[in-house]
Amino acid sequence: MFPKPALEVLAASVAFGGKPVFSDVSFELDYGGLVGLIGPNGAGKTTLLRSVLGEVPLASGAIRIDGHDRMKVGPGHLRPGSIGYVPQHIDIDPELPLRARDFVALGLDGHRFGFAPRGRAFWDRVEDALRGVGADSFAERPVGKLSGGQQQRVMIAAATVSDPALLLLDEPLANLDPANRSDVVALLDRLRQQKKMGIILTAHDVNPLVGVLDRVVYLARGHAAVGSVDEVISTDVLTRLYDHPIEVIRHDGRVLVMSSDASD
Amino acid sequence: MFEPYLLNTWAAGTLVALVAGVVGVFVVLRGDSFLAHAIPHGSFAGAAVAYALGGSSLVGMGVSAALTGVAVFCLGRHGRKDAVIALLLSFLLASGALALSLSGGYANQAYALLFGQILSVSSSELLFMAILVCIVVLAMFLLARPLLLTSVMESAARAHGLHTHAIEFAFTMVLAATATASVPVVGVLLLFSLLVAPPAAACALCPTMSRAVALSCAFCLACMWASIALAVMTDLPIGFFVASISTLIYLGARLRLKYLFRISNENSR
Amino acid sequence: MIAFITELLAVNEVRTALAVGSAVAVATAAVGVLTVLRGQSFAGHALTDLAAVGGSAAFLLGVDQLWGFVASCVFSSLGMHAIGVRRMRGRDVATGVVLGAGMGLTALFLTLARKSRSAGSSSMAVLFGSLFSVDPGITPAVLALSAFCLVVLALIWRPAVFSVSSPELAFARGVPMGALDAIFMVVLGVAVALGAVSVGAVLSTALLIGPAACALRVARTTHAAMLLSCALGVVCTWAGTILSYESYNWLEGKALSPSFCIVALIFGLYLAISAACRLSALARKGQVAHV
Repeated sequence: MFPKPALEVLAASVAFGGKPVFSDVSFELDYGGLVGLIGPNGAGKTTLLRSVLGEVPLASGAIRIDGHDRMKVGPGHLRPGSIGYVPQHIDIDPELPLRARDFVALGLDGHRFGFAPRGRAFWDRVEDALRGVGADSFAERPVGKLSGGQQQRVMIAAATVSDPALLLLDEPLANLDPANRSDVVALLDRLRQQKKMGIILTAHDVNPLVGVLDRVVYLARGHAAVGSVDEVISTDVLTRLYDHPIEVIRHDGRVLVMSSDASD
Repeated sequence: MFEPYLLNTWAAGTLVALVAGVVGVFVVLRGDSFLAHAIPHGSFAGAAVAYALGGSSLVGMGVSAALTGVAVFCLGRHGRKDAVIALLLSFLLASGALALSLSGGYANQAYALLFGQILSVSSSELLFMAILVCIVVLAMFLLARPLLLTSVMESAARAHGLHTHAIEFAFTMVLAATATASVPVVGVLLLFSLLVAPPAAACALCPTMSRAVALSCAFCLACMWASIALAVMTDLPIGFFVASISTLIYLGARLRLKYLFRISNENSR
Repeated sequence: MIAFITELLAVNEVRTALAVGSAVAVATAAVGVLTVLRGQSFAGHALTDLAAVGGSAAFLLGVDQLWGFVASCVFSSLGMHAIGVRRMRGRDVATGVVLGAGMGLTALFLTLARKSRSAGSSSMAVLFGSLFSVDPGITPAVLALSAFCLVVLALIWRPAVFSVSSPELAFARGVPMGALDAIFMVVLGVAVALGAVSVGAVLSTALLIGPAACALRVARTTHAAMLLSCALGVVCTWAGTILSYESYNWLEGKALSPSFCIVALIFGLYLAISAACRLSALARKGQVAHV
């Protein structure tokens, strides 16, 4: 009996007001796997994440998380804490009276009504999460006053403290400098191995992720190509996907995707 | 209804409607509803104090509206803007009420200031209002484009070298002037309706700014004239009619939009 | 000092004023913290003005204002929740329009009331309140409503703060955002209605926002913010009430209304705390420069 994948997307399509955003996208994400949703801006990557999250309904197809059909089951009814989500724009009020530690704590019990007491075991889990992302040095500081990179780590800790099956990150590398980028990639790689959670993240540049991705879902012009980095990021596949001459150049472990149109 | 002693009221009402129509469009665009609510409250305090001291309430109103604008502008940059404005509003209203109660003319005068009064405008005051309105319209004419840019794309505005803070401050002063011109007729608590509902209706119905401003003025004029007529006939406060009619205009615009939307959806199928 | 207080407490109106005022202050200050955190100060203010509709209607009908306030506040708050557009800007205009309509109705009711009876200045009491003329019979109701606010707040506190600090994560974790919103709006409505009983409909905002804004400038955790806010609210209410009572002696027959005193104290407190925060921020910069 094979264990169920953390996430299955089966021929999923989403349309807004009659206009298709993407059609017939299928892929799987195992526990402990790391999948990159790559593509240009506006391709529908965020929309796909939001469908997994349950915010955007599917026009057709199905999404299953841990075997449960997404559309039939609300977020609260999945195995507790089944999905963690780190948005692209972390918009924290600078005057929010929460220390980083409190912020992460909410990721664990913030959804419970009432006043369940927070004991030793609770705070240990919070501490572990903070340490896991390297945020224990600034755990006592007000979260609104941290730098963008620090806030992102705290956000990741908050999303993972409840040991979700699935972690979704929207453009986590977008505004980081190269050093921070490789730190975050290493962090995510570590998290998925230690906690055995399935991680899916979006990016418009695959390079920082080349070594760690199990699978790429390349989304462009409403369609997806799924496979390993080498399989998908190739001249043939991308030319077909974009319906436009594309050249993929590999150099020194880096990948460059270019339009090979003479007019460029 | 058109007795000579009411001519001033008709004239004042027309001026108020025109200025509210123009300024209101920008208030709606900028989401400055709360500010538009706050400044008239400030003018209440000034008018009350002026009345208590026996001076011209119009001047008192003008000064305090301007000062309120300044205060909101400065305080709002440091703390949470919403919270500050809310507190300032309350304090100003309370102070105004206090001034009136200490001077003895309490209920009637407070009433007139809060809800507006038909016979409130003397000829000299009318002249003052007319001048104020001209200044406001001129200022809006000059400010319109930069203000629009600042409101919609602040970073782009700054990139073009605009002093966004100065422009926003200028608009705050325009609001203060508008309030001063309008409060005697419409009242502190109800001016807000005129500044927001008909312009919002116009914005919802018109695709371009110039059409929105024109429609907004038209709505405000219709509202104002109807209100004056009804107030004369029923002896109920003008402000009540202004508020009710502007709300109806707004609801009408929203419903019509929904109706049009449904029609266009059916057409596209 | 003790003698002074006991003397004051011997007066019936003062006792009622303090009891009602304190119960109200605690509820509004606590709800206020969440209101400010959620950025709903304008909605709170709109509700206070809408309270005036209910109060003036009640006044017209001869019913105690508390029920008018409660009815119109809860009804309005649920209405605002139903209309509520997701976009901030939409909510702004919608709230504003409802507010304007409500004010119009208030004008109507008060005018009708003034015509049908020679009510005179007591119509102003709906708008501006007077703790000293509160009917002692409503004290149990006020206490019960205040307790209601506090209990519900305690129940929704964590999910509410969570939905403010990380809305997407809260949604992913299954916090029922819509239901939470609705519950909060009801509590907000009740708190605003209570505030209207104390300082009048139009001034109720100060009780809601003031102590909360002060506490949030200073506190480092949400619990501290709530406790501090309640404390400040009660202190201002007591000080304002006593000040108003004593002013009768100084001003030869006229008096500073308790509503004015309370609101003025709250505003002054906010300015003082703002200034102190700004000064200490400057001082810290100065210290860093010296090192």
